[in-house]
Amino acid sequence: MNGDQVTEAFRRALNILFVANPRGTSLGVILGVALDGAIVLLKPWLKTFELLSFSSIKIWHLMSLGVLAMNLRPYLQRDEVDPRIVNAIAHIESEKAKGHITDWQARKLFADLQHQILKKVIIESSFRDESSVSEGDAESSVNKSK
Amino acid sequence: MDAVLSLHMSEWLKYLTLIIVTVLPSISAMYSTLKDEKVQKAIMALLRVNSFKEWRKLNYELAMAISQAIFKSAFFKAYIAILNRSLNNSINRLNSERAKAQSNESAKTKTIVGLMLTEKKRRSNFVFFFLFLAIALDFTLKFTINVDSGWWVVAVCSALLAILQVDHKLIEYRISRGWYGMNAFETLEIVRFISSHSDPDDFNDENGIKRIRPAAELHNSIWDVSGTTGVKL
Repeated sequence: MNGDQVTEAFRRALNILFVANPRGTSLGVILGVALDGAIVLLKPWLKTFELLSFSSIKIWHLMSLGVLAMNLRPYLQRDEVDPRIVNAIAHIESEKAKGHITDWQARKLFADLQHQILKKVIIESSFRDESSVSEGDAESSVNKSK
Repeated sequence: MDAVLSLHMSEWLKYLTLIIVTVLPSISAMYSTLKDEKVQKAIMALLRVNSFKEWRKLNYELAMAISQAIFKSAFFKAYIAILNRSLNNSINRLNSERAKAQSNESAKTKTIVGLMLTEKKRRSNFVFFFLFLAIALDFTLKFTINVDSGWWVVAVCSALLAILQVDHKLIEYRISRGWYGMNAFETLEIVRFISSHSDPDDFNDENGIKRIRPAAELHNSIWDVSGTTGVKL
């Protein structure tokens, strides 16, 4: 394994949970901390429930609950990539695994694939009227596209 | 495990931590917010409002202005600039490579990757802020209402910060070597960025051409290298 493959493997591993949806995960942590504070504040009242023992809930339970709650919706609503692109990528990967093409050729093919995709893309930003742009505009257009 | 992560602090250390984690950032954020012209204007407008619809709109504006002012405050600006250093380096490198690019196609790829990293930077600004907020909230609760959470929150938040930093460092390293985007995972990353930032209305006409409409700051800040170390929202 060379540096390229090692760093790629690391990035793949890191992107599984946190880096894929860092905003949700970090909000989940805050939620856990806040819930922990709320449980301590409500302790006298919660003690009256003899059926449930709230004192055994620890901070890590609440943090994992928060992270799960914040990641559930994005996970269920994750966008699907165009199947043609997925097929093309799978094809390059399988050819590489079979040894039909070398590493260098595979890279070239990935670069070509990106050029094909980018041919269909116009970058609007460079010639957009600045006065018409606001944070809210951009956010809402992103939301709509989802 | 519990013994390691339980918190035992002497009184003076408690107060010192509380000042560093809670008091200083709050003062810095408040000073920056009160000094900010946009916030002042929004507050003045909010006082004179007379319809609910207008009130809601102004409230949103005020929230945006306050969050921008907080990110501009000296403390958070420094904190985020340190953490975003690798991404800024990568963006600068892409910018200079784009200027030297031989073909139109490779310049376009570099532009898209640059836009993607700027978006990543914008998102990680919030993450750094949230994680800091979690630590600050934890310490405040600990020292005010005696919440017994040990070092758990600090440990988890630092681990998450470290993971994000490692990811940014790896991106920087791969870009400096020219490896970025040459595999399935990163190709998909770019494709996802394109599909989540294109306008759905443009999808069906112009032979499937997609227009990228990145967040507002991209087009005036991304290729402006002069002052990228700060935070732009």
